[in-house]
Amino acid sequence: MSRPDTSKQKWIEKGYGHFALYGPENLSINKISKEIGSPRASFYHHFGDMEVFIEELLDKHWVISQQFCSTGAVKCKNLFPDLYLFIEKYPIPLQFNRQLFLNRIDPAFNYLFLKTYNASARAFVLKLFSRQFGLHHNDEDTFNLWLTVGETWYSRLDPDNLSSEKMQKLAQDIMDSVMKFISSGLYSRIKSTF
Amino acid sequence: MDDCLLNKAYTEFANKGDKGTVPFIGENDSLMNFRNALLALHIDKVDLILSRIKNQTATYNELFDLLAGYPDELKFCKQLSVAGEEPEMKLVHLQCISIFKPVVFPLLKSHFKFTDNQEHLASIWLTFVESWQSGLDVNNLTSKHMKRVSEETGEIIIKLNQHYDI
Repeated sequence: MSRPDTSKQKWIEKGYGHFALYGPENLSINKISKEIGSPRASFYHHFGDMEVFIEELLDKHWVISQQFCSTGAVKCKNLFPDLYLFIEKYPIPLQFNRQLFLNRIDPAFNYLFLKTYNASARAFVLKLFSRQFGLHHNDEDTFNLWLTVGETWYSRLDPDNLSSEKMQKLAQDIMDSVMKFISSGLYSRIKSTF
Repeated sequence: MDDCLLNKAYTEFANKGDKGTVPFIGENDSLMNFRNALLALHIDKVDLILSRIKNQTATYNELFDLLAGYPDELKFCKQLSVAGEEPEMKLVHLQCISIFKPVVFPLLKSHFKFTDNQEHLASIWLTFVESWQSGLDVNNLTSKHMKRVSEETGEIIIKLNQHYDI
């Protein structure tokens, strides 16, 4: 039986954290090499270049996101406070997702951000969101509302305070604005025009 | 605000974002009322473009010829897409993207041979539109340029779909 390649795993684990905390533009082979105690040469042996390394980090994030979705569907019964207590347990993946959002000008990052957002929405979050606000829109409209909340939330999220209370308060403020907007004349006009 | 002034404000927002519209906000206007007026005008313009696409666009290539006639509207969309902290703008932007989907996405799907996987269609469509918009050079909104960016975007999406086995 072959042994798992622990050296490669170390690079990925540390790189995942660095991407989440410092962003893709600040990923440094030197820095990670020092922190994990592996020579730079082992990076090139395992990945060849930064593009392949980032691809591996994105793959790892997708695996974690799928686990988040399946566990969340079991654990979260209500939007408040369950979802935010649950998200609080994933600080690094949450910040990784935030970096994908902030750097969404890169299509691969935008693709994965929307793919993970869509997956959690379909797995359990849309149901909780609709129930919390008594929404009776079609799936696409509800998803647009939830994505509006989410994108605004990621724009304003303070990475230095990822407590469930703070994250929930931010979400509630945004949801209040969104709910006010959908009961406005302008939203009715959108719905009647289209 | 009269229609002429509102149209000028629309063009200024399209070109410069929020900072371009400051001189147009009247003393008795609230920022929210002014924004809502701009967004309402945008909805009317989008509705017009959508009708024209439905009536006059049968092919992928024709789509870009038609869009090239609406540079201000395209720039306005791009401004909305980066107004990340303003939920009202974000929601209008997403609703506009959604309403184009039944008309435009079939053209893209057939051109790029995208998958029929329903679960992923929403994110593929959104990724395509947002990536295409961010790749556009607002100083060169010609049919040729927009089609080239579309081809590049499509190729990236195809690769990502293959990578994630969609």
